[in-house]
Amino acid sequence: MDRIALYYADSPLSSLEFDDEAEQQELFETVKITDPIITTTRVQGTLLNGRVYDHKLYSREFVEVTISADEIDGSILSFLQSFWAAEVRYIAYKSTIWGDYIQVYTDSGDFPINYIEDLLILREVTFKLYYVDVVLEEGGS
Amino acid sequence: MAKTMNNYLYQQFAGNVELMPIRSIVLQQFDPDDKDISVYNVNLAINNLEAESNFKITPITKNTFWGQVKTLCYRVDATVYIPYNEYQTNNLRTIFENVLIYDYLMFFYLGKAEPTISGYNPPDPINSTAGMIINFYRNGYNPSHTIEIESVEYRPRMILKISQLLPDIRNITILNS
Repeated sequence: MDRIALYYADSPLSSLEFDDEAEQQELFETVKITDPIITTTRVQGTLLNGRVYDHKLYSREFVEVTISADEIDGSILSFLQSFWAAEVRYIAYKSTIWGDYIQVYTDSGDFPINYIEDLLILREVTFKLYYVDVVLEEGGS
Repeated sequence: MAKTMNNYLYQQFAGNVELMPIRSIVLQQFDPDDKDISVYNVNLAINNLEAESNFKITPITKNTFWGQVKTLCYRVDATVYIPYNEYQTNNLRTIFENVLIYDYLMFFYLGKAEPTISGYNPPDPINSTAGMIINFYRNGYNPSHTIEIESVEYRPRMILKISQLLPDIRNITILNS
């Protein structure tokens, strides 16, 4: 993977096919993109007889993306803040060709910006982007 | 259609390494409200710098997830040793603190490059075989400076330290003298 695209919109896309001329989209090399990492949500508890129950509800994947100062100028910072605040957000990856858009969401809260060495010029933004779709079990639906 | 390939070949350095010590530093202050940086209201040239004077341009880097090193920005640090020391009459500190406000451009004149100020002809350069002018500018962000006075051997001297962060190597302009 050598690039990502971040795209945001007001409503979900009707087609997930990548569009390199889409508005409200920027491409980044980044300094960090993790592999998709699985995270699970479980319901757990202890019965009266002491037995523990543990039901996995679903699994999903997330990636951590870091975009650093070499790619953030004033307009890109504005784009990234709009992406953070947008209604619907997508990521796409490029290895040799662009893959389809994947809808993602983030945690709530402050825009995740960090200033390296406390220098305004060295802005760095790290997103933890969760895939909206769950990971399906093999044979599941 | 086949792409055109540009070939660059650098060779024959022997005998072609030019001597270009820092000769002068020039600071041009201009009105921050006037976007035309060619119109400046103060032109401060300091000639005859001590030979220890130096500058360096170094990248601030970050390692990537894939083991590469990316340049985030460039830091320019200059240390200029100024031998003039009749502070009671030439009042350099006051000059600097009046000039190094608002926006200003910073130029280093190397070797045979000669800052042109009407009414003054600097001494001929020595130990120089070529000339070059290096200019640093980042819109809206001034260099910072500190002034020190230290005593060496039989005299006091002033040290002007200037530093600036530049987002891009393209903020550095190199001109022929």
